[in-house]
Parts: sequence; C-alpha cells; structure tokens
Amino acid sequence: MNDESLMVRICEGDHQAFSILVERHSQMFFAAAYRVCGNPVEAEDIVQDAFLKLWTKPQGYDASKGVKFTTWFYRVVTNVGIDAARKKKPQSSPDVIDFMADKADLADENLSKNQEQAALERAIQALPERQKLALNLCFYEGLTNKEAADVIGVGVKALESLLMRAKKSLKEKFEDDAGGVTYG
Amino acid sequence: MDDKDLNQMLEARFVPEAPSNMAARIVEASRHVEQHRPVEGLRRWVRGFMDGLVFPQPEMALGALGVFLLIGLSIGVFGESYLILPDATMDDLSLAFEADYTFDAGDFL
Repeated sequence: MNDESLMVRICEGDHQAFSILVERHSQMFFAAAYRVCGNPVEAEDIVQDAFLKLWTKPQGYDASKGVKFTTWFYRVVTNVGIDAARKKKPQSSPDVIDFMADKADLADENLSKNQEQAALERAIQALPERQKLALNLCFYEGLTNKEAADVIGVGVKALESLLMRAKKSLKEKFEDDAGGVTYG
Repeated sequence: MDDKDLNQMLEARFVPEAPSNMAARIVEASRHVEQHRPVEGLRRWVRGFMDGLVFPQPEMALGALGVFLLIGLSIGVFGESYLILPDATMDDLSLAFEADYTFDAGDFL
C-alpha cells in the first residue's frame, strides 16, 4: 500500500496504517531532522513531534493536490525542526562534537576524519536557516529543485540562489580554515 | 576549494543511525493522543439528527419549510400591504359595526 493510501486510512483513524508509515519512513526523516539540527537527541524529538502532528491532524495532507507524501512531510519535519532550533537553549543537549567523540577511534586517521566531519557539521549548522535547508533538501534528501522550493516556500530561482550562496559560504569557510584561520 | 572537493566532503557527511526502537516509541506515544476531526464530528451529528426525523426525505421537508418561511417573512417585511383596505372602505366598514340605537323598548314588547 502506498503512502497516499495509508494517509487516507490514517484520516479514518486506522492506527495500523500509521504504524506502517512510521516504520517505513522514521529512519529517513530522522536523518533529515539530524541534518536540520545537527544533534541526534533533538533529531529524535523532532521526528516524534512531526509524526504525532501527522497522527493528530492527518487532514493537513491532501493527495489530490498532487504533492507526494514525503515532500509534504519534509515540510512538517523542517518546520518542527526550525521551531525547535528557535526555542533551543545553548548546549542543553549533547553536541554533535561530543557525540562523535564517543564514537571516535583513537587512531590518528579516524580522529582526523572525525574532526573533519565535526568541522563540516559545525559549518553547515552555522549557515543561515534557508541556505541550510536548501542544501539539505537538494543535496541529501534527493528532492527536485521545485519540490525543495515548495518545502521552503520560495521560488525555484530563489532556491538556486540559496544553494549557490550555501556552497560559497562553505567553500570560504574551509579555505579560511586551510589558511590557518579557525571558526567555532 | 573547487565544487568537486566540496561535493565529496558533503557526500561524506556523517549521519548517525536512528535508535532501533524509535519507531516503536513513536507508535506507542501516538496511542495516547487523540485525532482531531472536527468537521467529521459535525457531519456525523447532522447525519444523526436527520436520521432521527421520522418524515420521509427530512432534508427536503426542512429545506422547503425554510424556503417558505423566508418567502413569508419577505412579504411581511418588504411587501405592499395588500390586506389593508383604503381609508374610504374602512369608514364604510366601521359603520357596519356601529349599533343602531334608534329603536325603543316598544319594538320588543
């Protein structure tokens, strides 16, 4: 049964249909939420809140408008993630750097790789909200430019501009780091 | 740094696995949350009300009643006063209601 059919049954109160949808997509949206907030504990909260919103008001999704369920739910997860980031107290949950340190191998090579990953994550999380979203949706979630633009609520040209600026910011940040200037 | 290097770095971005019981916890949490279906509740109430009315096609009957009520109100408020007679005729009528007191007791004895 496809996602749209499951949503019809969820609108009728079918909890089994909701379970199937959660099992099918929770990992994917956890990854999406993680890319929004950079923190695995927060990502789990975001995904749970988003799925509970879906269960509470499934009528928010209208398949007749021709929008795929996953595209629509990306918007829900993104909005929940943005709201959570705005309410977030500084350092209230384990940071991604601490999380990666837990997994770090003491070997130099892996330590260096983890540091690089931590630096990348910091750089991405430091991007302006919409640039970060554009990058996440187009580069990682596999959405088309049109779908990503719909999720963010901008036009396609604006989305392409956001993507370009995000990549430019990241390049500048890493070039400066390579030149000895550090950030964060 | 060129695009290729940046893309390689972005592709290698680390994303942790979700906890294995996350989906089960979400499903369990949703069991304690009620769905919000206000329109559906209203529709169900209206359907129940209509089913409770014993005359056939209650929607048609109520609809017709409403229409005629509106027509009646419209005529009453905005229509001309067809039932009110002109003044001259009112005077003639009032004469008909006045008693004739010219008789005396002898007329009855």
